[in-house]
Amino acid sequence: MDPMASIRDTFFQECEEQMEALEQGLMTMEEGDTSSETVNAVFRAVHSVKGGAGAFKLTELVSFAHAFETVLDKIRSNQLEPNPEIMRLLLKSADVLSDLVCLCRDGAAIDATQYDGVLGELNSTAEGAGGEPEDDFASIDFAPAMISFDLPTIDIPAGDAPAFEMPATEQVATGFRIHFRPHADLYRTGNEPLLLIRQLKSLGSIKCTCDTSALPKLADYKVNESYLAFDIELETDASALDITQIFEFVDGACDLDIQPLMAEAAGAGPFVPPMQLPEFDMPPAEQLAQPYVPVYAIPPAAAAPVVEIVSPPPMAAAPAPVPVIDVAQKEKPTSSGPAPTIRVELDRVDRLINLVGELVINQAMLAQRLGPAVASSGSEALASLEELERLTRDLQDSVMAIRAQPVKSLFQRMQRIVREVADQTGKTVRLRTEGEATEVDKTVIESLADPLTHMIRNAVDHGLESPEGRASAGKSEEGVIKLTAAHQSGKVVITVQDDGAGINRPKVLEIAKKKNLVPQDATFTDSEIDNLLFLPGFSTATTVSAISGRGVGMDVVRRSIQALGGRINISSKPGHGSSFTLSLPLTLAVLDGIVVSIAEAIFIIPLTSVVETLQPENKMILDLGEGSHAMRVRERLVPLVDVGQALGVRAEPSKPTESVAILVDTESHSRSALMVDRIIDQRQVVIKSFEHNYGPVPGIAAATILGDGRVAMILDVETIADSKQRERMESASKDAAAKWAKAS
Amino acid sequence: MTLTVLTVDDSRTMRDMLRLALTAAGMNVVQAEDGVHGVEVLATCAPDCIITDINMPRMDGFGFIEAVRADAAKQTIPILVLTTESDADKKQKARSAGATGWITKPFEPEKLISVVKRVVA
Repeated sequence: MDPMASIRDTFFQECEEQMEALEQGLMTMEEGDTSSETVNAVFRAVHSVKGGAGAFKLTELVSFAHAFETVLDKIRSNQLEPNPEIMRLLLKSADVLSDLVCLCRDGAAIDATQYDGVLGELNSTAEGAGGEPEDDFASIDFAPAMISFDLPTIDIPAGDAPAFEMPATEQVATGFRIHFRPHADLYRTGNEPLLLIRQLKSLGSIKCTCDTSALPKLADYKVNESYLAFDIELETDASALDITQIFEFVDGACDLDIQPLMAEAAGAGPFVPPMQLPEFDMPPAEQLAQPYVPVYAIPPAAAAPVVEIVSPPPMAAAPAPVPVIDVAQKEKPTSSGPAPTIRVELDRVDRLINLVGELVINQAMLAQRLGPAVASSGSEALASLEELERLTRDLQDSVMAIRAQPVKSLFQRMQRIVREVADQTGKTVRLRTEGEATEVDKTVIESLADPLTHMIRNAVDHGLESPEGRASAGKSEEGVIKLTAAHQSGKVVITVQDDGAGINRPKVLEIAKKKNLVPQDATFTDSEIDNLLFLPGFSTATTVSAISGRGVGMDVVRRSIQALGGRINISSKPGHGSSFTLSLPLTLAVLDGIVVSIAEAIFIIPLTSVVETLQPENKMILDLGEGSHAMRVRERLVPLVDVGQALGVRAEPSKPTESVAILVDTESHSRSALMVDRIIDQRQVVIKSFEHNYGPVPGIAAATILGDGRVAMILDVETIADSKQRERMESASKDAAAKWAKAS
Repeated sequence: MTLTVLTVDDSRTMRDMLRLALTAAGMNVVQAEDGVHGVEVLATCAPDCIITDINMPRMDGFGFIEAVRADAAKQTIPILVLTTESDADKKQKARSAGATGWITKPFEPEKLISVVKRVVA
């Protein structure tokens, strides 16, 4: 890979981290902590983005970051009070910056009009705050490092030697005479006169005289003082600018006079005012225009011999020997730093996870095959086998932990969503987050972004009332949405809770009936009504708003959660708000499943879908005709799906009473009972992609390898139950359908 | 002799870019992530030159330069500050802390190398 492309990748990765730090810092500021530490962290994030963006010539990003940074700098230096209005601007700017980073990363076209408003606001805020006006950014930072070289206008009578910058002089001048007296400060900053003189030499030929007249007696010699001065005659075609650039770093830390060297009289040049390098704080012109006083009039007696530098002389003090250090070794983390990390390509981690998966399978096979023999031969071997199993599990857990990431980044993104939707709906909303450190598999986190975004939008748009509505209900005008994450018995549970009006159940039911999503005469429990929100095609908004009403509803959210092997639940209390609970597996690499057999074949049913297992009895079975059955489970009817037939592994329908029914939760919150021959075991299995290794098969989600080496299919419960459901809908009587609908 | 340069920057991007440019010029690169880390690294090596960022967490560039200069053995190591700020204040402050010179970000690799060579004996 081209090293620059790889650095570019690093840059955008880092931008993401900076955007997170920025968002977090701004949140902290908004909560009232405007300590310099917090503001600095925010500043640094923007500054870092700007620095990298400059390297890749992302000019739009640079100039926006610069404007942003300028305002932050004013806050940092207490010239600007981070009042709510400024905070709002900062948050908006963070959003724009984040968008710009994305656009730059994707190489997309940037439409400046999209953020002109915010940019203007930043600029006017910075200007309003006072302080020195900012230079036009473009004119400063992209110029090569150099100091400006504005000669003060000096009134020189015509006829005298003109200023050497003028072309006319260059024909006469053959070089420069330079007087250079380092101050102690020059040495203190690690600068070295020898190096400067050597650089001068690179411009032409030089004669250098060292003025040692200021040297004291040895007894009075102070090691930190500077005593030497240098007079240099440089013959060169180079311009005065080239000379001053050499002295760029020592400007102000030395006496420096540069004069043109005239061809006809090298020793006694005509009167030319000394040219001084501009000070950091530019000296007034009159100071420079003072009458010339030669500062390098060296008493002939004290003048040291002229030295023609031919080759660089050896350094007086040789630098300490520098060990050649292995970079990798140097980067060794140190104890006091932040927790050391390494960056590894995801592919490598996944390969490792896959291998550990194989190891787990192999260990299971080994235990199964050797178990009986070992059990009879002695306890020591048995103990070793058990130890192997324990170690394998530990290894698996540790490897899985590599892919785990805190949900923090995901939660932080939601702050922005809340802000945007609150702005659009005119509501005041605060998002509180809890359990941000909870770790979940990277893929799960990534796949959660969309459903969670949708849920948050819904919560702000539909869940919370308008400020007036809240006030009349006796609530604070500021709505609160709580987003929490926690580990709960091997799963991660994420809840989105609002303190709004709660689900308007009569309205939900009315809409569902109007849209023919449920039978007109059906009656429902509260919880069933709440769950109607998950029906495809359901939308409670009377007007399709730009925010939530984008054609996707909670059914899509539910499907994406289920695709992750998770579940979603609603609970709501009128007047007090609603709460959505997601429960998700910690990883997508292993799955807890029930091992079942159907016609001699082994299948796995994901435990997340399983509600309970039942042994069907005659009185529970309801024949719907055409081979379809339903089953009565505690006064509710659920469709009974013959998995063997659905998958085509058995030609003859199996008898419900001779099977085991596994009650599963399926899409649209209906339940189905899956008929299998028997339950063999419940265990954790390593998921092997079936689609990747073979091809998509309806009804099969993935495969796994069992302890005895056999391949077992993991059932796609949704599809199996769904196809049966459709068949049933077509063939069953209207009466049965109504009963079924009620059951769901 | 191969020159060793210590780069101190909290940005991975910048560290990578510096490393790319310096190693391409045949220099040896040692990296640190902020001032505190830089001081720790310096306890174990003696680079020919130090390039440091200014804005860093834990210990900024000014603090780092002062810490380096406070050690008598390290008073002559040339220190270059990396800065996007072109304002004279920053440069002056860096020099008061003991910086030898500066490099303006974004830098061209050739420019970086020439500046390093300018200050390294």
